[in-house]
Amino acid sequence: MDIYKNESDRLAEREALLKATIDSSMDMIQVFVAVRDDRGEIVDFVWILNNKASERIYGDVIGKSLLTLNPGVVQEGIFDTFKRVVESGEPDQSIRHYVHEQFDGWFHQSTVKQNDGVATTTRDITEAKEVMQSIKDSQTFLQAVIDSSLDIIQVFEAVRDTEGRIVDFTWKVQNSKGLQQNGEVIGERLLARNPGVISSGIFDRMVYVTETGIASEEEQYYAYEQFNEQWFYQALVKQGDGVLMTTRDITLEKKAKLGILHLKDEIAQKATDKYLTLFNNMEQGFCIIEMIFDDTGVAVDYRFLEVNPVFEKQTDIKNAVGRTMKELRPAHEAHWFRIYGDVVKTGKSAHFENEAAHLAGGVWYETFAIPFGRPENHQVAIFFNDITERKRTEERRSYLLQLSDALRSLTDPLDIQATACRLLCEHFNVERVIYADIEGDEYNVKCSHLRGSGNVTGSASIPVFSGRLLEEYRQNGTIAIDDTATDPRLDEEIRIDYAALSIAAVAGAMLIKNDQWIASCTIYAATPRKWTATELILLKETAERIWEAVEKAKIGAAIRESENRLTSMFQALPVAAGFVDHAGKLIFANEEMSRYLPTNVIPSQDEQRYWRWVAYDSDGQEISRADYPGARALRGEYVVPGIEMRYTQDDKTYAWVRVAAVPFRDGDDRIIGAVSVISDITQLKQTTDKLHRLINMQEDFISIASHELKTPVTSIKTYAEIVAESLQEQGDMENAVLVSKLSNQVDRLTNLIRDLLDTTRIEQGQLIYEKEVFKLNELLAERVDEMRHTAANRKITLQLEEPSGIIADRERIGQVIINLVSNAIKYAPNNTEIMIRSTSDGSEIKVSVADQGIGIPQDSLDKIFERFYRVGRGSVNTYPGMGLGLYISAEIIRNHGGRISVVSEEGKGSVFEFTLPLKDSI
Amino acid sequence: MKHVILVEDDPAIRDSLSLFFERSNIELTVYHNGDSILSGDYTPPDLFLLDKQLSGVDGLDICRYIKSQEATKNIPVIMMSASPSVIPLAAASGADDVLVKPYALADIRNVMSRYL
Repeated sequence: MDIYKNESDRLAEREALLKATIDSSMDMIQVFVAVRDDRGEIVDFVWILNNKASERIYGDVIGKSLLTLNPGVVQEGIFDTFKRVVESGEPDQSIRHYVHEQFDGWFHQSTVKQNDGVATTTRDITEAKEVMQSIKDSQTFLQAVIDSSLDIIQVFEAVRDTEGRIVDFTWKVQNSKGLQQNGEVIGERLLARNPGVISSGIFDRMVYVTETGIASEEEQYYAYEQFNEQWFYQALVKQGDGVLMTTRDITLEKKAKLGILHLKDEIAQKATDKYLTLFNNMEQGFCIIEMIFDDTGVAVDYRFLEVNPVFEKQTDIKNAVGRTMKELRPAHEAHWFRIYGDVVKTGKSAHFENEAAHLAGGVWYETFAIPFGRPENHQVAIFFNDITERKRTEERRSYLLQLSDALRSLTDPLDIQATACRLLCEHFNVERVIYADIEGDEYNVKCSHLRGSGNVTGSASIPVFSGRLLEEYRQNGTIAIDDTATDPRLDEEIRIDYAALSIAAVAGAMLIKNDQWIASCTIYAATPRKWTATELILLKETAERIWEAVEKAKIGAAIRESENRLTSMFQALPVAAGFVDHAGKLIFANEEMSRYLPTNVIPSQDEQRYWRWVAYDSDGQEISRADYPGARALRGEYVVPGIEMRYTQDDKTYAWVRVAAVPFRDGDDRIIGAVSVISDITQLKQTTDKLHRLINMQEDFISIASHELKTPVTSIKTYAEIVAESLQEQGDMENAVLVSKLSNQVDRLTNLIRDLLDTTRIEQGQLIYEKEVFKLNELLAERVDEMRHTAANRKITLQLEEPSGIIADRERIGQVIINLVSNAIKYAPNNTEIMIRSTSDGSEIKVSVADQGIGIPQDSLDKIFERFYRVGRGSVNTYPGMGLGLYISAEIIRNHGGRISVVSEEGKGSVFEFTLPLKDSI
Repeated sequence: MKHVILVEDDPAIRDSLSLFFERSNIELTVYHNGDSILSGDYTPPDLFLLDKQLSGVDGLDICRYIKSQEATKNIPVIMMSASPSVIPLAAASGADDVLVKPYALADIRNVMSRYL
């Protein structure tokens, strides 16, 4: 057992030794056993041993599959190598570049057969391999660079003294270009060959680069040794204990550049000349300033570096160059410094308008400020224009606009004057403003404004111009006293008064209307002041505006008064009147209208009100709302006198009203609403209804009377005529004449009945005319013939011209003829002539009936065509008749478009004349 | 002997005209209204003399009826009325002439001599 134990111990000892041996190796030692498939093919390897170095890489992999853990072995041919070694027994040694799994490097691997497997020793040779590769790469590269370079490439090594200071360099390497330039210099000292490197500074740089490792690049001028005013581009890089120097000859380029630079200088000079010309001739002010900042970076002042001639004109500053603004004008506004300071700080231009109250007596400039030169120089170029005039104009305009705006809405003249005075005070920056009316010689202060204490209306204890001043004022319309203390035009008294009121300057403008001085506007300043012409004009303008506004207010007041009157009248109207807007809503109405507005709300909103209104057309159909007068008026129609409508009142009784409406248009003739007027015609309607009934009764009466009166008359007449004829036949002439007289009286009765009925018809507009075409002369002849038997001893003569026909009611015209002729017969004495003439002028026919009768008194002439008019003749001769014949005749003629007239002289006779239009002229 | 038919509802007119036609030697048939004319129950005359305003059928209607009948349309019809405004209505109804009441005997004679 001991032997066994000993043998066993020995074996273990050997194994431990072996293990320690392989573990101590820096190389990875691994032993694999092949894994075979059914056909005996090796399909994998399994780790059976790993040394420490290997363990560090792989970890515990014993018993694990190679292909599983390191599949990269297939691609790199390692698996195949292992297989070949196992199968052939031939060992293998390879250098492998293995970049799979956890590896990225170069390895030297030896593989030997070990039973049915392999033992491998792998050494990582990556580092060695890389060094070799880089050496190889850089050698190739350097070679190429050096060979292909047109630059001179030289490598120098420092030569140091005992204390380590570099005292010289020796050539170590140079390329072919270097050889061309230097000849054979390798191993030689630099300072011996090119001492110029000292004074040109090259040597110092070489030392610096060598000592610090900081590369250097320079354009180097070199004019020593074999070099003749040459320019080099020289790059130095530390190389070992020395430098690698690359040098390129850039002499040609450099010379070209210098030429260009020189040319540039010339052009610049020319440009400068031009600039100066411009600078001196430009119309803008120009200056270049240097900003001055305090310790905290605030711009506090600036110094003038350059100014052009216009600068002096526009600023009134002389000899500015070299001096600062604060020195020249200590009160110059801070905003200028701030803006220019910002230009310097931001590097951005500024364009602005601003005021400089202390330059040139107070001016406005439009300014362009541009950063100039290098930022650290703090320079600004400034262009500026004096825009004072424009600015003042703008101010004036703005003031006048403000004035107009303020006055427009005011209606009280005192308010207007007070407001204007206040604005004037602010605008002119004066102490006091007075607006006064001039009535005759009275200076009647309307408004006095004292700065800070508001308005004092209607009182002022201010001196009034007199004597020479007043004369001058009257002459010029304005007056300006720049200094009350010194103005020679002032007498001592007024001077003292001004002084007492602390008035140092006065300006006044008078307002003239129709050659009358009617108002004066005066401003007072506490310090002497040079009044400008513009200010005086503005003062005058203000006075003008005040007056205009006051006048307008007065007119406005008058209009309002008239409007008030109209409104009261409108309210008091006995008819309902209102204004309806385009939507049909009543927006304005008078008292009476409230009767028709149950809710009494305006604008009317009561939809209910519609059912209250009804209107009917002539056929008794209800009219639609779209055809109500208001709606029609809104469409532009004048619905006058309107239509009758029925309105249902609150107590459900009806009111009959007449509604009229007219469109209401604005200035552009657009319809913006309608004016509606409603009058209550209930009463009228009731009366009219009664009247209609009466008229109907009367019509019936006429018709009945015509028939019923005439019928007995007709039979009486017939009987009388038959009796007369019968008596004549029997020879009883005496009785025959009596019966004839009876017959004549029947005719008179007939005529009276007819005239009465005609008059009634005329009154009622019911006389109906049946017009036809006929020849008037024929009618004249017919009617006159019929009357001859009544004319007894009067001679009736007809003188008729034959015109074309007329269109008229033959019966009615016949009636006129009978009327006129029977009148002539009635009023003409026996044995006189009645002349009937007809003449025509182509457009009308004129018929005259002339008698030689008693004539008509002048005072009756204009009345004889009136109804029931009878010429009064005392008691001498009375003539029967109701005075209706001429009235009816006149009506008939007028209805036919003709005229009827009479010329008469008492005792001499009358001429009645009527005209009728001829058919052709109608 | 000529024959005239008179339609008149006023007894005095009928009577006075009867007297006139008798004296004028003209045969006169008198009706109080138009019933006989419209029923055709009459002997056609040489002239109709019709009052316009009748009780019952209006004179103008009778006129239109006469003028519408082939047998009677050529017989002259004279309308009588107290109102001159009847003249155009009468013409429209086909009447040949109008006598306006009150007429004179001369007027009747004129008409008769013209149409008989």
